[in-house]
Amino acid sequence: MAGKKTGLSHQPVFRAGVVVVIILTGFALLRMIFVPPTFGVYGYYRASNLDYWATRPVAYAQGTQCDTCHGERAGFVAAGGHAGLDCQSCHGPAASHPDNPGAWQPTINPDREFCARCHGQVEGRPDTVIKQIDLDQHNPGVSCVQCHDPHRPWTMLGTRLGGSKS
Amino acid sequence: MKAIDRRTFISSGIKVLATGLLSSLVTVVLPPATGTAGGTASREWPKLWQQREWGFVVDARKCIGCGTCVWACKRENGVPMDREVYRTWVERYVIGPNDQLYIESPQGGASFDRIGGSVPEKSFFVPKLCNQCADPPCVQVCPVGATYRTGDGVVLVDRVRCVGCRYCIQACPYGARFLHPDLMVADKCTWCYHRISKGMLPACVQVCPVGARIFGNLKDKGNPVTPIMARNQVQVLKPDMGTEPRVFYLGLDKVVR
Ligand code: HEC
Ligand code: HEC
Ligand code: HEC
Ligand code: HEC
Repeated sequence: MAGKKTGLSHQPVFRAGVVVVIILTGFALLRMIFVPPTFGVYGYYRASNLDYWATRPVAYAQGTQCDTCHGERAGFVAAGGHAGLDCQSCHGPAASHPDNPGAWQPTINPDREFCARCHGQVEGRPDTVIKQIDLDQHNPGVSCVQCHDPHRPWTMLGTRLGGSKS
Repeated sequence: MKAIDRRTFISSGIKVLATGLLSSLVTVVLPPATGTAGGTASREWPKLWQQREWGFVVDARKCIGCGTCVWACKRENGVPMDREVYRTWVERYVIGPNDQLYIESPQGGASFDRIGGSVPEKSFFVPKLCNQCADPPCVQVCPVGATYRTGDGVVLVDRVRCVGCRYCIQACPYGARFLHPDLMVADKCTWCYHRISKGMLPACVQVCPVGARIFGNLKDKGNPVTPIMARNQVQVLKPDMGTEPRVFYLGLDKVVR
């Protein structure tokens, strides 16, 4: 007689179980493929991306690094009207310079326009914060560094101004 | 070919599936970082974050609009110099004689010229950058988990995962994000995460000649930011957006937005 089949594989519960197992396996496989490594360690992102950002190369060296070789000049700057300025504010990024100073040096810009970037009279620039000159009126045609040492703006004019400024 | 009967088919099927289930359970239960597939993050970030909370103050009264920060930021972070995209920029607010308001940022504020014509009633500069919001809308809208806020308070973009869909650029109320023209992924200020993680200052802060940008670790005793915050009424941009910006401004005019 045909009767009811009694083997394990004929139980409806078992068949449903097989379906569940298939779904779970499929989910796990997809998850393995699509969720990238280190995703979710600290949050909804790849934790390894933190290392990417933290280890990017630096273009501007630490300000104090210049002092190790240019200590004298740093002291010279620090005692005058440009005290507090980083060398690289004027000379640009220099991180690749200290390793091989002979081979690569930062830029030097003695143009009038360069000084005027900070000192030119421009609407919005507060004269309580910085002294300004009219680029067209203030000794036109002569380079600023002829009269103002860029590293200590009053030093060459000291006597002319009664030696009160540096 | 020998036909297999139903019994053999099912029982071997069970074996295959059981193996699959077991191995998959392993990957589900174990956190991905310790799985076989990938490298782990190399630093103990949560430990570092416990000792760090970055703070950024912009003193708008001091900014002279020289643009040194704008150039320095581009050079430091590999943002194309000749394209109109900026991680930090400086705006000039000009209020005319009849209260008209002009806001301009030519070349991101890298070099401001004189204004021709009538003398403005009032004008001043406002440096801008990513506010590293505590509740960042840009992170919420990212469909692929490519942007996130670190434990020490910086919003970063994962350039590998970013698909360049620009949702985050639209979502930012401050216009602080842009599509990197070469990489075609979202880009933004990171407060120079590579520098601050090494104990250096962000490039814009370091080169500012007048100290209009002040940066520090709020969890460090003696950091320059905490006393400023304690002694002054600091402001943020668009506080009503509820994004909880983390760049604090000093002396911000009421017209600034
Ligand atoms: C390892 C020592 C060292 C360090 C550190 C160093 N320099 Fe120099 N620098 C030199 C030497 C040596 C020269 C002269 C190179 C030559 O003329 O061959 C020089 C030259 C220069 C010059 C002039 C270049 C020229 O064309 O005349 C500038 C500007 C300069 N350095 C800026 C900097 C700045 C800014 C820093 C800080 C990031 C710095 N240096 C750090 C050793 C150093
Ligand atoms: C205000 C902008 C400014 C700052 C700040 C500054 N420099 Fe200069 N530096 C200049 C200019 C402009 C020249 C070119 C001078 C010239 O042509 O006479 C120059 C020239 C130099 C030179 C070439 C030799 C010379 O004397 O002409 C060296 C070396 C140098 N700077 C190093 C430094 C170092 C180191 C610092 C930081 C301690 C520094 N500079 C800070 C603007 C600056
Ligand atoms: C990156 C911005 C910057 C650049 C570039 C710069 N300076 Fe200065 N300069 C300053 C600051 C800031 C001060 C200090 C504030 C003040 O006194 O105006 C200052 C002070 C001065 C002073 C003294 C003003 C006083 O207080 O009596 C003179 C003069 C001067 N600079 C000349 C120059 C010359 C010349 C150049 C070009 C070689 C130059 N500066 C380039 C930022 C700059
Ligand atoms: C011929 C020499 C000479 C040249 C060139 C020169 N200066 Fe001066 N500068 C002076 C003298 C002298 C003073 C002080 C008297 C005065 O204010 O005119 C001065 C004053 C200044 C002051 C202070 C202004 C104030 O209100 O106190 C600044 C800033 C300045 N110069 C910047 C520059 C810049 C920038 C350049 C280049 C564009 C430049 N100077 C070119 C001689 C010169």
